[in-house]
Amino acid sequence: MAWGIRLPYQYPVVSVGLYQMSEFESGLSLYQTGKQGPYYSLSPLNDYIVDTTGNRMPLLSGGEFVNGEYEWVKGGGKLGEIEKVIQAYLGTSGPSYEMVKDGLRVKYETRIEGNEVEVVRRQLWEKARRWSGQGMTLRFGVDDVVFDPVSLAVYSWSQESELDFLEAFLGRRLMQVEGLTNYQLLPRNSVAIVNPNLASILVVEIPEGNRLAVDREYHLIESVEQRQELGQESESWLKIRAVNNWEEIGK
Amino acid sequence: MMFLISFQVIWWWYVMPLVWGRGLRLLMTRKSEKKGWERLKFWKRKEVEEVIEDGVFDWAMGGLAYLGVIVLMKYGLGSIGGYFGLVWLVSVLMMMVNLAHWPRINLKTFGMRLAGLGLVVILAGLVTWWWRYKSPYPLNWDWYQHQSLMSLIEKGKFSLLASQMSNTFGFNSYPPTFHLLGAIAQFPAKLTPEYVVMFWKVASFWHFVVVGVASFWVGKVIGGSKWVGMVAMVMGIFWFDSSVSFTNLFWLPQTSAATIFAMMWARMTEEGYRFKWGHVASIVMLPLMHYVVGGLAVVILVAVMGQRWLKEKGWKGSYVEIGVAMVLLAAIGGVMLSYQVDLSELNQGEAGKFMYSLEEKREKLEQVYGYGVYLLLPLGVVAVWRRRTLAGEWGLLVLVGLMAVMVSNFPYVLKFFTLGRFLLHALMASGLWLLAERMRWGIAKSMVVIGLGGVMMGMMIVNFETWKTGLWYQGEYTHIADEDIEMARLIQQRYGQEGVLLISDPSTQFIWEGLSGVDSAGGAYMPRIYRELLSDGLNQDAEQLAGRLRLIGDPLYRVEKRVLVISGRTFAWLEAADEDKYYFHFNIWSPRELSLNNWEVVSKIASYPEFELVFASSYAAIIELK
Repeated sequence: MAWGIRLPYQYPVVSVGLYQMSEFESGLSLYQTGKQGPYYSLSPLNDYIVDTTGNRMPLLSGGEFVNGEYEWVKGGGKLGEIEKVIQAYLGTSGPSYEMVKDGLRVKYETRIEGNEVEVVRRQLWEKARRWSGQGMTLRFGVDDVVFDPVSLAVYSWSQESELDFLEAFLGRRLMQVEGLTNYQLLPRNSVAIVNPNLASILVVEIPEGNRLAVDREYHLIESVEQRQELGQESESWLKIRAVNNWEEIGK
Repeated sequence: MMFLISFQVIWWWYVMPLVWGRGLRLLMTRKSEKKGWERLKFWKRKEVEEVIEDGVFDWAMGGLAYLGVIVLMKYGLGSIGGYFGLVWLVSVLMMMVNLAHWPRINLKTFGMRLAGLGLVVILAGLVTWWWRYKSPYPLNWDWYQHQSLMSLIEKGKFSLLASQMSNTFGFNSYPPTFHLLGAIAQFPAKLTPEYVVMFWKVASFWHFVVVGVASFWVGKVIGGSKWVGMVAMVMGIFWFDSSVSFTNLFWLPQTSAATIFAMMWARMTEEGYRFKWGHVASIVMLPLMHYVVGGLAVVILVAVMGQRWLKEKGWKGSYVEIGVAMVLLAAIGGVMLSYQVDLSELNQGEAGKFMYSLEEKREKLEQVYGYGVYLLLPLGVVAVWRRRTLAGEWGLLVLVGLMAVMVSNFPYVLKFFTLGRFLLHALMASGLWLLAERMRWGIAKSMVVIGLGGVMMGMMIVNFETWKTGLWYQGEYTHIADEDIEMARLIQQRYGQEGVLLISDPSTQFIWEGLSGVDSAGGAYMPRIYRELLSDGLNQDAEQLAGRLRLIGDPLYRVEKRVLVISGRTFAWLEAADEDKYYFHFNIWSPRELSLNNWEVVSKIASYPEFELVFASSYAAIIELK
């Protein structure tokens, strides 16, 4: 309830192609309602910075999350909530997520255009800190097939039978790559994900200059930025496009 | 097409029943009275509301006549062949009767009335635009079943029991009166999916306009001022009762009955109303539109009529005290009874899903009106109590009675809000006016008006968002996709003849039957046994599925060919829990595409020799059972 207006039970949900996207306690998620598919999440639990000694530190650790040592910020107060709902209805803004913990504020904002969503993550440290790299991630599902849309190389743990099955529907033969490691850097700045339980393909694109990686153990697509910097603020983004068939992948 | 359909709706749904009713009234009026009436008043130019002062009763009488003719044909002659031609012929005759007794209307004041109507149309148009924002198709889930009945009537099928016309209706909540008037309005158009979608959009808009007019009228008689009427009209248009009742934006039997009730009630409680026995006959139309909502409306109107009749006979007793005592007794008894009798299993368990706790009801009230209701309603009561008009006292009494019914624990009671909202808005408008009339026009009052307008607009959009948010599909809020229209057209062209039965999950077959007019295995009200057969079949192999599909039929019509439709919704339904998928309350409300795994299942079914794949897309597959 805000200003005499009872707000929806659900947070504003928007559509990205056949997917819906909304805000949750731990971040943003893309999913298909009524399908037994995964929730593709963007979360400070998976995003990280790398300090000068090479240690990878999540923006929000599992312990902090479980113990509630952070605050999920519902932006803008009551009026802001109403504005958020109205903007979601009009489609003028997508969902956003903000959290604050000791010394750090992280915000994810979205901009939706047609079947594509651009997610921008901003992190603001209370004190300037030195870091050598950072990663923005998208968590994918266990059953997903992750592949390079140009070379058709598969980067997930996928069986040949799955690839046979996908070939029948995609009209393309995806190929296993020999000698992959659990953490695999990719040669391009875009990657595609398909889940047999869903009716769409996600294409993830990262900024030029960043490296794209697939963490096969934790099921993460990572946009890795490596540069030495001393600062309080940083920004990163990735774009996710939902396409319905192979022809749309190249568009 | 939109303007043509607008003409069809306005002419056949609104004007012609009025013309029939007025024509019948003129024909039944004694000759001596008629001559005297004309002689005395011919010289005088009349206000338009004088001419149509009893228009709502005439409309109801006309509707009854529509129904009476078809009932005579069906149960007297055994066939309704030629019914639509007869309706057209009688309409011409009735227009001649009306023209022969056409009064002279005061055109000067008529212009003002027309401007008022124009304002309602503009406001309704504005809100409709917001409502349909990113929603290309009607968001009234029930329209598919109502359209199915209209299509059947146009095909020459008619029965007073809806359950004898279509297996979608296992529960008779109404005879097909609403549908008959709709079918007449649609005749002689070809009922393509595109046409019926447009028809429902247009008819819903004009219903919305009429709700605005009814809100104005009720507000005016309760508040005793056209300004209160205007405020009530704005409230009636902006506030979407988004749970169960759906009065303003959804054109349905229950909402139509409620809107007719509101206008009848306003007329009967108006100063200068004179009781006529013909009005008693007219109100029979209400339960024939919707047994429950119309039935309660009749109880209320009979009470008002009785009091007015007694008053004309010189009775001096106080109806308010008697009324209050009766309403309180009925309310206490009803509420107590509702907690003793368990009706949750009605309508195959659907009723249980429409029983809300008091807390939930309070939340729903706040959802629609915000906290404003707690301020404006008591102020409205004060305003009405101070004026002590007949309409005000009746309005308060009826609203208290309806609120008591809604507090009870019976299922579907929120449907009575279709009746109550008109009175609630009129009282809230009276409350607002009590504050506003004391303020002088100036910057402060203008700011208050603008602020209130902004808040109402904001609440309306938040309410829309709350209601629509689960319906996202490809950037739109919708129950159906373009593919539903395209594929319904395809099955209409291919299987439009009798003897074909569509079989799919309840939601898909419900939508496609409404769009195409092709019979389905019960639509959204598919019997449990058929649900189990379909679910079992789809979870086994194609041979088992074929065997089970042959056991699915329609007790009302012969089945020569069975057509299986498998869509993304079918799998979403199949994957649901048993306590959902076998019951009426559960639907797949928004479109679903077929996933890759779904396609594998479809391919296996289609490759079995007893099936033939007729059409397939990423949205759905149409498979004939040989």
